[in-house]
Amino acid sequence: MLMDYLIASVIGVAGMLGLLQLGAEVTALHQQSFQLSVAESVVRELCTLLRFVEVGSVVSLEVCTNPKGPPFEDTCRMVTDWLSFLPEYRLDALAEGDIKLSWRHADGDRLSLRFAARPL
Amino acid sequence: MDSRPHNRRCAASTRVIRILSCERRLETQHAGSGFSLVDCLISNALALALISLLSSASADIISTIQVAAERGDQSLRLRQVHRFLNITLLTAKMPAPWTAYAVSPNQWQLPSDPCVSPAIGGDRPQWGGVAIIDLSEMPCFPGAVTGYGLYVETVHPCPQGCEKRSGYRVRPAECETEPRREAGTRVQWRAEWQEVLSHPKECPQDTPWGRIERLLLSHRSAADAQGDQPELRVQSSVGGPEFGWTTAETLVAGIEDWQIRQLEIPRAPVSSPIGVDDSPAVQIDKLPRHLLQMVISVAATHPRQRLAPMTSSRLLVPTY
Repeated sequence: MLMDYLIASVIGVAGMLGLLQLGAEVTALHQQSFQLSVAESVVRELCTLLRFVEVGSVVSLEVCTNPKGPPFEDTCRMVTDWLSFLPEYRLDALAEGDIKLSWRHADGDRLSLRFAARPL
Repeated sequence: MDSRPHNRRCAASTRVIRILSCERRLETQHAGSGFSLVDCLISNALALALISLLSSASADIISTIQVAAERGDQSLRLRQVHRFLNITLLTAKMPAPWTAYAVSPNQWQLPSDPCVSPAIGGDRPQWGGVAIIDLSEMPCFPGAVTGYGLYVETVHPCPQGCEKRSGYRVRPAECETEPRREAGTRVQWRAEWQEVLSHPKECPQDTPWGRIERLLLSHRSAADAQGDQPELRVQSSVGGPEFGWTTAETLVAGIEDWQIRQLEIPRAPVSSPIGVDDSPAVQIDKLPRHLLQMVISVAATHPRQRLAPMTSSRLLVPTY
């Protein structure tokens, strides 16, 4: 009888753990979708800034700290706030003039998003 | 003497004794099997410990899922607004092949008066455009709308998407002239109401024509909503004999704050930091630009999450 009880308990616990695992997977998926959405918005705004300032100032976010630069306070506030949602983010300027934003996902992989800056 | 009845009685009594002894054995076994009180207490304690462990883990995961869902919902609503703007602003001008004089790429073209029907507004060299308007100064919008709104006049080339519908048709005022002329002349475009949109019969078959639509984006704050959610709303113009605007409909709910402003960007090249590769592939503006900036703040739907609102800023750059 004790064995029966133990087997039933193990099955129950395994089921609960399975549900928790499913919940964790759903959370990770949500997180990934959210991070992609955030990254897309950030890179879109940075690409817009590329029309007014040089790419180096954009990827280093110097455009946000330069008091003599154009008045992009709201854009900069959004970019800096939203980049905090992306763990270990990194902004790179590519040779083609594009911007690449990469960050670390919860499973350890690095995700990246690359936007082509539209020439005038 | 026949001893068989006696033997039978003996055999029967022996069988009864055997059965009784079996029952006694069974009773003895039953009395010794099952869980004792201590077993039950231990198993209950184990079960409770497991359930509490799983409950705490589940609570953490459920809370994380709720936060992630809330954040996802906020970003989804922001995306809806941006997607709507992308599509709308793309048509906030006449198609480039229609006009010899493109609007300056440094500013948005100004649309026609939102309170005047396009049919009586007169001929114009361009239709379409974007403007910020003070709604308190606009008497033509129904309902108690206050604050600033984003007014967009769009031009859609026909005949794609124009069949069997009414609308304001836009066409060259003088059909015999080529819309795209050499420099020095300006083609005037005329708008007129049609119950069923059709190609202007008096014009050559290859004459470009389209339809005009007008949209207004406005915000209803939580104070004005009177218990409802604050929202971003959209209104469109209604044509026909009596020109007017529809009542505002919800575009995206839960927009806590919305600001729209004009931004002038002076020429301000910033020197790049040492070590950062500057690519010359993208040309930088040399002229001041008049942009629009929209700042949207999306509140959390479920107040118990107590998530901070997500604020998005969007620079609306003319793409003429």
